[in-house]
Amino acid sequence: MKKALFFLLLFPLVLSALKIDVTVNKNTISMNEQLELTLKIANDNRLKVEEPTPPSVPLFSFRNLTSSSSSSVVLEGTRLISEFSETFRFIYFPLKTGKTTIPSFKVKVNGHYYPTRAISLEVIAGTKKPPAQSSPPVQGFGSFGFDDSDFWGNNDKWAGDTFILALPEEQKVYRGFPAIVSYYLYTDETVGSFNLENEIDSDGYGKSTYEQPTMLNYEEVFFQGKQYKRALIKSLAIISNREGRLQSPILEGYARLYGFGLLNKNLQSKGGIINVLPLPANNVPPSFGGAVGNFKLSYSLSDKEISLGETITFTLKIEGRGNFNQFSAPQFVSRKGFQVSSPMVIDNLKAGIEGTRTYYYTLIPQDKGVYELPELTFSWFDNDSGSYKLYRSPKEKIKVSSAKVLSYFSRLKQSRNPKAMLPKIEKNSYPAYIPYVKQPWYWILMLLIVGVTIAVSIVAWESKMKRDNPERYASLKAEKVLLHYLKPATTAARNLSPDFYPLAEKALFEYLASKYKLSNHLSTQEKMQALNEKNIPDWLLQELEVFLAHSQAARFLPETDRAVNLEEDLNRIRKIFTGFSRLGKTRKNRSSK
Amino acid sequence: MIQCNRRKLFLRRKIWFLKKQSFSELRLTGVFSFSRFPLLLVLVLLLFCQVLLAQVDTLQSPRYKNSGELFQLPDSLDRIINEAEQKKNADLFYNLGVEFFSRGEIGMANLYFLKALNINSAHSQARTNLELSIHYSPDADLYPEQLFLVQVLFKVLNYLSVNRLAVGGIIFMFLSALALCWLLFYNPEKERALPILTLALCVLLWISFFVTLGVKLHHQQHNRNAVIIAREAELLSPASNNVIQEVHSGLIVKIVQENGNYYLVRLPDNQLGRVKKEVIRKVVS
Repeated sequence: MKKALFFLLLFPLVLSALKIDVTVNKNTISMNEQLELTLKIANDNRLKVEEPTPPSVPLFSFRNLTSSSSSSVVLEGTRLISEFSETFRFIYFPLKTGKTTIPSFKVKVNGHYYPTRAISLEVIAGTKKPPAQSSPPVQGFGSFGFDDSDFWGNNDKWAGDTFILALPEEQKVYRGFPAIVSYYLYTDETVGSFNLENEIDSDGYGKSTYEQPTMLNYEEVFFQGKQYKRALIKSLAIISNREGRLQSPILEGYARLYGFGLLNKNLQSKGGIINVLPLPANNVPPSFGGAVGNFKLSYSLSDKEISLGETITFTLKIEGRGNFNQFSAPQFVSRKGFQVSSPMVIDNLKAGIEGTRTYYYTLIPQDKGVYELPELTFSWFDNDSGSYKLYRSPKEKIKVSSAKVLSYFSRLKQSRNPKAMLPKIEKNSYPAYIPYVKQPWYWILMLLIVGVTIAVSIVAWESKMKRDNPERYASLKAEKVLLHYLKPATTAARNLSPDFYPLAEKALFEYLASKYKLSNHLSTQEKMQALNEKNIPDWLLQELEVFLAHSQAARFLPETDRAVNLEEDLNRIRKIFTGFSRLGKTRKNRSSK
Repeated sequence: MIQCNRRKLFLRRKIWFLKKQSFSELRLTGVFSFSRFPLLLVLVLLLFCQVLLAQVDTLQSPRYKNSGELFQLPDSLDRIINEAEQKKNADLFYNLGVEFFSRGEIGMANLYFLKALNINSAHSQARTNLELSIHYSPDADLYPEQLFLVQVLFKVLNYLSVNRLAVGGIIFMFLSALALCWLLFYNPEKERALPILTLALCVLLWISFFVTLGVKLHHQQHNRNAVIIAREAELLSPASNNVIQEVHSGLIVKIVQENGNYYLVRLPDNQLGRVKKEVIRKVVS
């Protein structure tokens, strides 16, 4: 029951990329040393960590607590790798010798409590040298350069032993599995600094830096029955690309020693042999794509009941150490009822070999109903067990109902947390930006629309007038015709041109035709008769007859005599037009009254 | 000549009006029937929508070179920056943003994404990358979570870039003109509610588009946004030299006032403070 509860508490940890790690600097500690308990919380999202209460450790007294936080964002290709971490260091002093345990304590991260693991410790007397912690004694490697056993513990003599050892000295891995080789500086002297100058590489592997401290952090170890201080210089991740015996890179550098003076000691690493075994040819799963490592797989599903138009996100998380850069995303075996996108990949890897890789698949249902989640398989070669393993996603039922209106807005919500940086846009040229409103065509188009609108409005206004007030419309049209024809007639009269009479006569009859709807096909006498019937004053008709008579007479006169009465007739025709115009207005006023 | 043409047009219309007995048969010569005006409106909208959609296509379906792989800019970065500042091309600004991001310069990356968005607020790639950069920045908590409807509103406003607003404005201006013609030539014996409603709607949208366009153009030229480009910077109190908080590279601020060697800035969470001029870079310099 307790175990079940424990796993239940750990379940959120499995789902997220949250890592909580508790370590101590030593499991066996002497009375004159201090215990450093380090709590590191790491996640690929931001953390909100409440400062934990220091656990009460029997046989120890709590002295101090320091904390630090860090964040890093690294872009690998288009994949963004981010890590946020908080580290708490608890310092304890031993009170008594004996065996004890650091109890499990709870840490509040992002509003949830997570338990830590318990750690067993032993406190020994101060005079006794503690045994090696991080590295087991390694056989078969002699002292570096000279036998210094006579000088151990004698600080008066300038002699000592300093060397670089690549650990493990020899290891076996299957082809493709990343081997970690750690280079330690072992010394029993006072080393001020170490300068790494060269890495001599061999064939048959690819490498990446797994860890590289910025300073020498010593720890006490026993090596071949002798006590040394050792500090990590570098850790490399080696991925073999052939089988057989491989020599890991050989580090070269020099250590600066303090004694009676300064001395530089050239050093070259030893050890670091990797025996690469071939992958078994039997029982290879069909879906094997070259993944080799010690992996744990987990999955999550964003929803099991959705509407048409909505999407499901299937998340597959691969955690552990392996050749992450040598295998591709697993694919769904069948896609019945769903459209499956290419997965989005988020890596949270150390040196590209250890950590978590998460694949996000977007599944879009194609019709409503109850569907079984498409199966996804992933197979890999497990380095520890030396066998192939196969992962199958569980058979989940997905219920797809009819589309909702809100489904169409679901994309708006999904874009809040983008997962990958989009790449550059390739273009042959980048034209200068000029907004449309600053380009001539835009204003020409706008003026065209305004012009056409005004013209159409005028036409519509005239139509309306013709419909609502036909007399007024006819009068206005007549005025226009008059202006149109009288203008050239006036010009001709001023120039004493013989064209005056035809122009004036044409203007007069066009005007009368517009105003009284007299047909142009009628003769002059018929037109006069029609005007008589329109109740036009006699004086106006007389003036009209006189003008027409002059016009008729002028046609048969010699050109030189035609211009004799021009001015008089110009005034007459103006009088006629004014009379007809006033006649129209007087009639309008009477009708309005 | 013009007068003669007008006269011809007038006479033609005069004859045409005389021929027609009822206004219900009123037609624009050989173009369309007013009774089919709504259909025409839809057709016009569809026609102009292609202009808008064409813009979308050019933005949303860029040709990627080696999808998922960043490629180096062809020449020195300085030359590209100068070219981008001269041309003010949104895609070029966006590419510079991606380049700076790949170099780990988050502040400069955000600056160029903002420059791209200042030119074209509908540049979806620049917005996605900016959101990603903000999401993973140490100051991500300073950006407030907006309500869903506010998000929708901002998305609509962002979609309507300056050029889209200009095209949309002219479309609605044209539709307003058509609706006006429809109203003017509408049968006076019939209820006029539909043409009046159509005209009012078109005019309202036309005015809205042009007002928004004016505001956006002004904002484009006087954008007060700026980005912290130093890895870390101290935000000082507006009135004293007390440090309020530390801000980091990439944080987007709004410049409120210039004050000697400092800018008075407003953080995304509305916190006011002063930062040194050298740690900040304006979007519109």
